[in-house]
Amino acid sequence: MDRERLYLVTLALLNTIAVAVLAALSETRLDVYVSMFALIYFASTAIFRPRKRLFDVVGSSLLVVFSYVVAMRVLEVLVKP
Amino acid sequence: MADENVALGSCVVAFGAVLSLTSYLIIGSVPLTAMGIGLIVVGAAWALTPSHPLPREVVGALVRSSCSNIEALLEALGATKRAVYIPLRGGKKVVAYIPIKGSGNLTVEEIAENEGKVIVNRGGSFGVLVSPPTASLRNPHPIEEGLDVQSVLEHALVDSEVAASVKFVVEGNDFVVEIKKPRIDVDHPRFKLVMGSLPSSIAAQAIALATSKPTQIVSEKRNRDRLIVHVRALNWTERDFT
Repeated sequence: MDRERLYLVTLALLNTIAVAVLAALSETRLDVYVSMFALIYFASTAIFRPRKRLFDVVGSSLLVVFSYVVAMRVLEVLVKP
Repeated sequence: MADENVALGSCVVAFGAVLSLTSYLIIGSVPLTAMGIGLIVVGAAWALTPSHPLPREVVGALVRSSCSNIEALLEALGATKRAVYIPLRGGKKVVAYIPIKGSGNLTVEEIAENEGKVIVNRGGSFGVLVSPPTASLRNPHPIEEGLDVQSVLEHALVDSEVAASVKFVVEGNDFVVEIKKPRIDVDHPRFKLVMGSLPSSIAAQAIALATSKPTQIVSEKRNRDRLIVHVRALNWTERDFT
């Protein structure tokens, strides 16, 4: 199996496991799931270093969403009386 | 027509979008919505992954055949001196200058002026300019502008699947490059004598491109599955490189 296929299989497998585990823990916050997807994506990409035909749109989108989620959490802590 | 990775990846993205929207708006299930988002991520990553137009074996065979032609040329010319890898002004290509006769008469800069020619016959020096075999030196999708030696070496050797990993240290004007598990090489003695082994030749080209300086392989040593190569960065005004 070549590196790109292994990367895609790992990404799909880890995303599925993350959803199953978080669902089993009765997690209902969508941002937790998305943050896990972002972490899995960046870790898998760093390990497998797959070739990309274009600029990494998925990584950029996930980074923006992850930053937004973290910013909201920090804001929540700071604003909380 | 789009290739199969784009088609299949788009199908997964579309299915993920429908699943997440339906789950969120109609069913109201967060895990299913997350599953849909996960599918969008995997589908988009799939669509962005290029399929292999040529199998690795075919690429290897093409590179070996290119080396055979250079070997024949070197044999015919009786070349024995080390080649100098010269980055061309556009910064996209590296050529190899193989000195045949006369030494110390031409600077590397004067040799580079013969871009586009095959034979360099000037000032009592005679040599040939050849395009050395390489898979790909420059990342077509660089993350950041500018070139650094490590990223060019990794793209040229690791991403192109010539070797498993590469690292280097700088010692004065020399770059000591450690190439682990080289996968493609050739058994042509004249080619190895003049151009270096195939992974070393690619490393010298990568350093020339990244530093915009001419380079020359000084020595190489094989140690089990590792190849240690000393590559010297030359000055453009250097004459005594032979």
